Amino acid sequence: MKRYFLAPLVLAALLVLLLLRPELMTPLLRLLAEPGQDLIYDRKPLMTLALWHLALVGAAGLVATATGLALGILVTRPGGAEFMTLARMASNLGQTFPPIAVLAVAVPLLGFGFEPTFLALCVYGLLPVFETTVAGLRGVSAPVREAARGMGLSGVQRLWRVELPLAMPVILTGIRLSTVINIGTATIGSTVGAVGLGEVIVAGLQSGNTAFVAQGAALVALMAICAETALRGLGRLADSGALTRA
Amino acid sequence: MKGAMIRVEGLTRRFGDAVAVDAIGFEVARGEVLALVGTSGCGKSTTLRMINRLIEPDKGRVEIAGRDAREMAPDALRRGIGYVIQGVGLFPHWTVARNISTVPRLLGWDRSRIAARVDELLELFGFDPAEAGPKYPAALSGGQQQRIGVARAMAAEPEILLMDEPFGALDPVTRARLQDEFTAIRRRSGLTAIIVTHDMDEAFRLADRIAVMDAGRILQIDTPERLLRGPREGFVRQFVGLDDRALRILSLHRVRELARPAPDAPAPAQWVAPEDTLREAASRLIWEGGEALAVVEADRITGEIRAEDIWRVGTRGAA
Amino acid sequence: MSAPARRAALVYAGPALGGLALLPLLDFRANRIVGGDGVMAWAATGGSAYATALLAALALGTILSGSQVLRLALALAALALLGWMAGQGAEALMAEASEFARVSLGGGFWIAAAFLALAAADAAARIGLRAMVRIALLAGPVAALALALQTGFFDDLSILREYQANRDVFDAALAGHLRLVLGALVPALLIGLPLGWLCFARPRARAVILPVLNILQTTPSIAMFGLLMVPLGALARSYPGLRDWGVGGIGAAPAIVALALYALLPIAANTYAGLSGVPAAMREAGRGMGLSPARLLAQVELPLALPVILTGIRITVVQTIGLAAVAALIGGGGFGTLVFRGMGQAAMDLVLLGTLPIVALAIAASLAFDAMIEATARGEAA
Repeated sequence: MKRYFLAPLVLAALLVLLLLRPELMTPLLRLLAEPGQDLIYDRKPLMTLALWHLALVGAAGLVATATGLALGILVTRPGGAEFMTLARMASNLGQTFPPIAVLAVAVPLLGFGFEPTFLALCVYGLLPVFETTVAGLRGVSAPVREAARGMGLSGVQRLWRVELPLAMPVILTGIRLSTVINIGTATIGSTVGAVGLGEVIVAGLQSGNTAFVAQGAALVALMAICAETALRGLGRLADSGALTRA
Repeated sequence: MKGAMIRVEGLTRRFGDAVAVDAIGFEVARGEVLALVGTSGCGKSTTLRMINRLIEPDKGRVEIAGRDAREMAPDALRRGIGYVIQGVGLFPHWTVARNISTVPRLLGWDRSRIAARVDELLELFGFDPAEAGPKYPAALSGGQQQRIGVARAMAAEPEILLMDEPFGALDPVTRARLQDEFTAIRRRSGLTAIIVTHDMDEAFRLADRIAVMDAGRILQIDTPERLLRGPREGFVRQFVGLDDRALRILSLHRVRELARPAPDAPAPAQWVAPEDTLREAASRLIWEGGEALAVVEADRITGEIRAEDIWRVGTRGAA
Repeated sequence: MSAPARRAALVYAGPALGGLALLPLLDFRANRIVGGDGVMAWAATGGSAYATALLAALALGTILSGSQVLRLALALAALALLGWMAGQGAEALMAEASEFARVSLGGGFWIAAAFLALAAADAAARIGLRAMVRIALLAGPVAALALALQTGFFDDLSILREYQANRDVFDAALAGHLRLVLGALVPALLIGLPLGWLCFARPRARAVILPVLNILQTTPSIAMFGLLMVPLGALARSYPGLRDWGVGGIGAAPAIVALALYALLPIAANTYAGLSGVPAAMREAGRGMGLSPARLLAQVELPLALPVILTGIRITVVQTIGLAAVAALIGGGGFGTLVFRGMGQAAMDLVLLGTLPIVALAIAASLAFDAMIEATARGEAA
């Protein structure tokens, strides 16, 4: 189990280090900045921004995952097959709308800052979870489903004890995709005032300070890769069955 | 039949315009094994699945131990019936032991009783409980998986077993071995069973009575021997297959049925055991030449069996 | 229609009618500063009440009708009626108002339009038409919409007023957006397709290429755009001639490069997946018949991998069209310009004027590629 989580732990440690001691990045940033510009973003503590960023992505991730799971389960039940086309079309549409568009439309309705970004991330994070939930549940082999039914497991029991555990590795892939994409997408929220690491990037764009842009980008990318490796490790844990062994 | 374990009356099921099962009726006595045989699409699987209500009939009635199957909730009904399918369907994320204990857990048995039952079943099917219990289905061979599938179906001590092509996916050698194992086990446990198969030989090996189905109807329902001796229609004749029928009838009988006391004259040089089939005895007689074989039990000659007696069994018009 | 199918039809028609019943069809504002008054669907003009009743009847028809073809026709008719009501209503409201008044499409319109469109798409899907037929079917409503726009039927709606006022900006944005997308896709295809093949042919290359592309993909888009400004700016400073070609620190160049980089992963990954999905048996058979590796690739592997590769390209095109919206942040042009301007001015109409074309382009590209994918996949036997 340890080797699954070694990489993410190292990356997380590096991230925390850079967030608390951003001066360490100075030598590299010097190459990018024009003379006279600030190198390190210091309007707000980077750690605070990072935590807000995580909170935003985490909250949206919870909603997107819960919704995606629920829709995916609903659509694969015998009564719900009719809604498959609707759910698929809606999710596809969600993916076609660029996040900036969702933000742009949400701002007049919800104001600036956290709320429209939260909505945009929920919408954007929904499709991967929904698609993988459907694929995972459908991937449970027919004899297993037939045997579970024939043995007298009720619908809920089948879902909870057999189908979901078996679908879990695939579903985790979707959750991982959704989370990693959202970490990047959340930066766009800073263009409408959401608190997060995107602020550093946007500040850099507005003042033409490439060092800021690079800082923000590096920190977000590090966060994203850390999340990717951590969730991949979780996925491998699920694959090996350790999570659902009875 | 009084006190039949399973009774089916007027069972009908349509899919769209097609009639899959057409007003079928039959009974299965306690401890009996009935085989439903026929070609693909004849309705045998559909019939089986209407008994544990995986499919609901359009018309007709299913009675189990005298009670209408519709009286119980479907899930509760199925927990009392063992169900084995061709793909086995062992849950890949649980150990063998956990798989077997599925229904007992649902029924709320206490842990020690479950553990004891799991060990008992594993031994019954030829496994070492300590070794096989913790294994995962992926680590088992096809034949082993199928055995565990049957063990799982028997875990909660059901009185009825429903089996749909249970040994179809196995190679002939493993299949024959499992069929013999199953026969021994079910005789010991007194289980009632309905087996669906398209393989006539399998039906012959496993069943007390066979129902030949076609296009949703039962054409003839009889013991294997009576089917061989008196197939009623063209389809039954074709399906049962009348080549070798004399030899196949012989394989339904054992040497002990015809063994006579040993004569005063010296015993024949070649011998058979009481549990050997008459077909094996006949084959031995043809090979070795001669008119009689000694019957040997525990290294002692206990009687003899004569060729003419054997021939008489296989003759048309015999019992 | 079976009971479950009726339930599904209800899911579309219900919200459509509910939206119209609860939310206004149009929003009327006396001027830009004053808040808006909602105008319900039945109140817009003299004939609106009858039109609304007819619309409700059409929507109910989609639930009750037994044939999917009828459902499709009813849904399309309802959409047309909805559009007509919006245009007529806007005209009637503006006729009596000052020149500073604005009539925009209300929540009721959007919800009804969205759900009726979904209902039509659902019915079309259930009929089981081939993709080409579906696209042809779409041509009808699109042509009708174009005609209505051309003849000025919708001109009283604020969004069209905005369009009139900013026509040159809009046209520039359209040209810019297309330039961004095509400018990024061509190099991405030229590099990504061979990269994908390389991942397939040389497993060791794959272990390096895919993770690197993955890292590119996780870099947030605004950061990528921003970062590319540096090297391109430096390049333009060293080689002033490049500036004449439009290469520079700001503008479309860094955006195009960034978009191309983002496009690499889906193209390469799907090319690799498509090629490795070709059954080994087919490759065996081909080699056994004496096909050279190049011939094998051209005649066997690529054709069989085509559906998956095209899917990757479709994903890329849709993604690029969407990402190009952010290019406006670094002066790259495209419809993002309108979106950000609208956000800055709190003008929903400008935002929509920028967003709707992006969505329309993405949907059009998606449908076109779906048709292509279906056509190539059909060539495969079981």
